[in-house]
Amino acid sequence: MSGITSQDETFETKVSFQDISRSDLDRPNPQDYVKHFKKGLSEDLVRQISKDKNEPSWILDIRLQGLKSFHEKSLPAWGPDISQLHFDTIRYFSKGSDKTHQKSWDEVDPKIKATFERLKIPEAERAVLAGVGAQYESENVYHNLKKEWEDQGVIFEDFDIAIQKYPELVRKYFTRCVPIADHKFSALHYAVFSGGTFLYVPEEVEVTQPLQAYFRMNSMNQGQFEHTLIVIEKGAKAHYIEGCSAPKYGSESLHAGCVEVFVEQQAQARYSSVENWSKDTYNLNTKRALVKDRAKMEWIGGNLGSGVTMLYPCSILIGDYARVDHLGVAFANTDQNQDTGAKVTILGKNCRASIISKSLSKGGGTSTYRGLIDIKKSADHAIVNVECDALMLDDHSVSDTIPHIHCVNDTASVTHEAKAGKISADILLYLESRGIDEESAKAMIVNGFLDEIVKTLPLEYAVELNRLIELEMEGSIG
Amino acid sequence: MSQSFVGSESKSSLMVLCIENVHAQWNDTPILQGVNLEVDKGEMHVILGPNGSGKSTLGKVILGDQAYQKTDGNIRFNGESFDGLEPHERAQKGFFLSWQSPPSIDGVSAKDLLLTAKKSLDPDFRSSFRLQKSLKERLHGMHLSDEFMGRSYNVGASGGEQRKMEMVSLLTLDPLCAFLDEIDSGIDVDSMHALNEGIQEFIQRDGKSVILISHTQKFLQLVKPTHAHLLVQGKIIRSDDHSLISYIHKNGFQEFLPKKKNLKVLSS
Repeated sequence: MSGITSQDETFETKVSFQDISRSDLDRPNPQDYVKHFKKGLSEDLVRQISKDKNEPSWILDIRLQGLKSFHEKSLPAWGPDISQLHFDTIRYFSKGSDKTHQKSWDEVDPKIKATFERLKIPEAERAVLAGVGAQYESENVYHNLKKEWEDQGVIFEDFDIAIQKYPELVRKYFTRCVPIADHKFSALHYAVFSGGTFLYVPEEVEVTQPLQAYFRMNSMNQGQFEHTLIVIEKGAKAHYIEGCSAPKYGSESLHAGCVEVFVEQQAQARYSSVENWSKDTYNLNTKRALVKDRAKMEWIGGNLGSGVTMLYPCSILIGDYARVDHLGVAFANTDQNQDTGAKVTILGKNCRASIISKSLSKGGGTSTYRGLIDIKKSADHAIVNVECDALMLDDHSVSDTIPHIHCVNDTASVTHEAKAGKISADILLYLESRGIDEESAKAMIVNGFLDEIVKTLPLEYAVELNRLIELEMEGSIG
Repeated sequence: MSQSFVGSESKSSLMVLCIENVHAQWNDTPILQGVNLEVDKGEMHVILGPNGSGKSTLGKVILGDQAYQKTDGNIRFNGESFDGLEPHERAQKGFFLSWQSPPSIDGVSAKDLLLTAKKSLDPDFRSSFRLQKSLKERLHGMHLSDEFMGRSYNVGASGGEQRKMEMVSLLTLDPLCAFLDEIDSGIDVDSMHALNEGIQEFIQRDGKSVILISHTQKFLQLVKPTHAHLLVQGKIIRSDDHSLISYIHKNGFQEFLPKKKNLKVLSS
């Protein structure tokens, strides 16, 4: 609420996510098209995807390596229980329309366009964004970059198209940040990846407006495996935002996306995402950044949806004086397990890392902060601060903090601060004594708790996040 | 008021708060033991009494704090019973409690808090721009900087600043009846004058009333309550005009306290 009320003078004239309700997000479109796409994973399917996209052979090789590695690797032995995820019931590839990869909303299939309009994406693009990508099931239906940025050499392209149009550039970076065999789900990702974004910002170009991609899963048992590759060249700067949602079916869906970010010397990258998959989605996402000399990476993430989330954005500070900020919010409601956190590996000298994690749990939900700080021998004078705050909204919700710190350099300074608690009865009564009802008072306290993170988001996303939290807060009494 | 007789109409429509024989306890410990108090519009009452006599409890019980159980008696506000109403509903009826130690709230600004409160109290309230403007003026009136609008509520604020924020809230939310629980404690002389000006501004508005708890004679001399009550061991044992204030300050509470019978036992 703090975000909404504090801005509401200016906000009415701007784009509003305020009207989006849970039913807008949970409601699917018709899905006759899915009968053309089989469920389950096989080498045939992998080859078929590659053929359908007319990919060069080196991409198919990566896919096949991924598939092999997926079969070799076991599920993680830690974290939430994902044994109910049945790989053979997932549909790994499907298209909602043959009209994909459009440059104009007018060309997008009207039914699909309506979905994105309901989510207010085209409106936001006109008002505040430098470029927009919209993915529906496995493929992008729309991707566009405003001309002023194109003229400066910025590339903002559907990842499938980028492979065709910029093969050398893609090949230079693809899989170099997140290796194929990193873990079972990265391997799966590389086997069946489809869609996603390629963002390339040339040296010294500052993209002042955010670039956004929105990912939507529509059909039941869908899997989405978009690949996002971001390269911010020396001295350049960009802000990339991702929004995600899927309708609710009561039958599992799988999201195993992958994000690779290369932040070159003195460059600055900010990656913001609000992930709001439906509650039957497994969100097993891999995000990683390589940060060079004097470069700065910022991860800002809100995780609200999904039944199970396992997401730990990772930063590898390889250059000297590299910096990273991780800001994360997780909200676990009934039947949700939000296992999120951050991983930072430091190799360069005089690097700084800051991790702020805020988690909320309600209605018996579980949220866990899981973190790894790894300070290598070469990382002289590293400074790392970790701050984890957890707020439990009732007596039967759970919050855990599992921090790991490995440090083999004596000159490093690491602080870890963790707080967990319930909503203060005193504050609640105080707000009520001013005429504010219990539910609104709780929402206000929760928004205040998250304020530090929400205020780093662009206004529209702050409003969206606040709105989503309000939806989760509904019925929070008793 | 449809049930009132013509003769009592004028009297009852003036009365904002009527407390009859209120008993209340906290964790099975009786605190209020039959409090009676009537407050009319336009009146300013002070409740005096030694520490632990139940003054703050009275404010919390009127608010409807669940930590206290009202075991007997009636609280009527503006002609309606407060029974069964939640604290926010009592606030919406026009009762305001200023807290002795208000909490600090991370990430919630005074602007957000008061805007949300104002909207809850008045569903027709629209102009947040005007509220923001008047909030700024009120802060200046209390010698508080603009910063207090946007920063986390009461976080890092001194006791004096917190109390002045209570006054800013009172003047902004504009209730019918304000219960000010030691709003003057531990404040400097300039702040005391500012708070007094706030109270005077409020009581001069149409149909308002104030109940004060205070131990400071200097403050009470400035504020000039019209009525004074003495609350001892959960009961109002004397009600008078302002002359009671100077009497108590001169003579203390001793003569009003029950005689200690078992002195020997206590001292051994």
